[in-house]
Amino acid sequence: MMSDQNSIRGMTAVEVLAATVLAALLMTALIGVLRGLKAQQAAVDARMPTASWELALDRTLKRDLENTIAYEGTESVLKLHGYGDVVEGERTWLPATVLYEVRKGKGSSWLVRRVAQRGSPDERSGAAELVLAEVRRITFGLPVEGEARTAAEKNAVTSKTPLPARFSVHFWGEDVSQPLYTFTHHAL
Amino acid sequence: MMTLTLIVIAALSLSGFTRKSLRLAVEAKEAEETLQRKWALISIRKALLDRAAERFDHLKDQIEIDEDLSWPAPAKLAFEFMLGSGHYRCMLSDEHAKWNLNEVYRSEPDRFRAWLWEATDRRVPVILRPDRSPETKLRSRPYSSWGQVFDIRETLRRDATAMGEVTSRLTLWGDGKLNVYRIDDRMLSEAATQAGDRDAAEKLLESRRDTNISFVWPDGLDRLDLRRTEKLRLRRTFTGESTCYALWVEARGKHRTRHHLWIAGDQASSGSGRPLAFHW
Repeated sequence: MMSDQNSIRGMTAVEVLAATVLAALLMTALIGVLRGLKAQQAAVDARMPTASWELALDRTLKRDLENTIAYEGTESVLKLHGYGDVVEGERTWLPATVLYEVRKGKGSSWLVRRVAQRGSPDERSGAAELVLAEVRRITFGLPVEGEARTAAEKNAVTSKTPLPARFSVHFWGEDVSQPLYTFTHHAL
Repeated sequence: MMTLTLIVIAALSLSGFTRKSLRLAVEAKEAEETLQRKWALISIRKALLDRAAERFDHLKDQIEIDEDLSWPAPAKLAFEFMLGSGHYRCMLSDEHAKWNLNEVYRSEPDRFRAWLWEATDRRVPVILRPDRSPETKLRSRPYSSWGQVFDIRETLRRDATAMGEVTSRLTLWGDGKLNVYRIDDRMLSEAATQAGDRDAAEKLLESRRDTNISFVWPDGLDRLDLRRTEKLRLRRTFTGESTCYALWVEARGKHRTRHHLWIAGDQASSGSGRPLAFHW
């Protein structure tokens, strides 16, 4: 009888109070840590504006423009003439034209990339690769700041023009005030 | 229970934050290396290629002044150095001191492959893919890139240095004329024989070897006992001034090796006046 009473021992009020205070302190500390984490996360996000698709497109355009000698195009297609052919991730240095085209479908439009080898008897037009969704038009030329951008950018270059040392490409969606994507190439 | 929940949430947030931080750090490191490499390449190009004519002309002047030195003047200059964390090997060369493959193809299209195989010492796999578009036919330049002549991918996998060595003797650019001050005796003899005949070639070679008379092109041609047509053909084949130079750079970083080739002074391909560039 006495041992049964001892095994069912409860907590005293002081013990409960102490446990509550400790738990409250621990929770306060954890909430503080979580707040700090949130602030640091926001700081990291502010420094990392580029999504992974943007980085991938940066690399593709950089590679294409590095080996471009001349360009031409309109609002719906940009042609880069040079030696940008790549097979299985490796450059071939064969003369080729890389085309960035806006293709419109049922209610949607896509930016598509294609490589056409130049001058060979069995001239190959490579498979089209989807690059970016909701692109309506392309503009290109020298980078221009501010309001003069839309007016100054050349929207139609109908003959092969040598690529300048600095060259920018903008892909526009429905919003005409800001492009979906911008890339500026600086020649080595 | 709530405390445990909070601990779990904190742990998950920390791990997500750590991943992002790590990605940011890796990207920052890559961006730093890319910037360093870009800076190095631009500096190398400006220091070497932009002043190539000056460097080679200085070496040519040395031979004219110093009687102990003889022709040909150097046509290739090699450099090797460290810049930042990268190791760079560079070869600056005069394109007018190399066999122009478009000229060889034009004069002997049937023997071209065999000739090329010998000229490369069979070190590099040859895959000929001339550009037959009307535009290139007009410019008489079926080959404008090494990718049309060699299997670049296979070569770089097997022996990357072979590419640099083979192309130090061959070119696809320039106006096809050979610089008479910088080509070796064998090349001078072969080219002069093709342009004139063996007799004309021997006379030209002797004239260049003669240390008693200053060898000057094209004035020195007038002193030779050759027919007028032979002299005209030799003038079309050779030149005394180079306008086209190449810079081959092998850049070794921590993780990979990159190759760059610039061609300066090739009027047919660089409409913008900037050097023609290949990067891989």
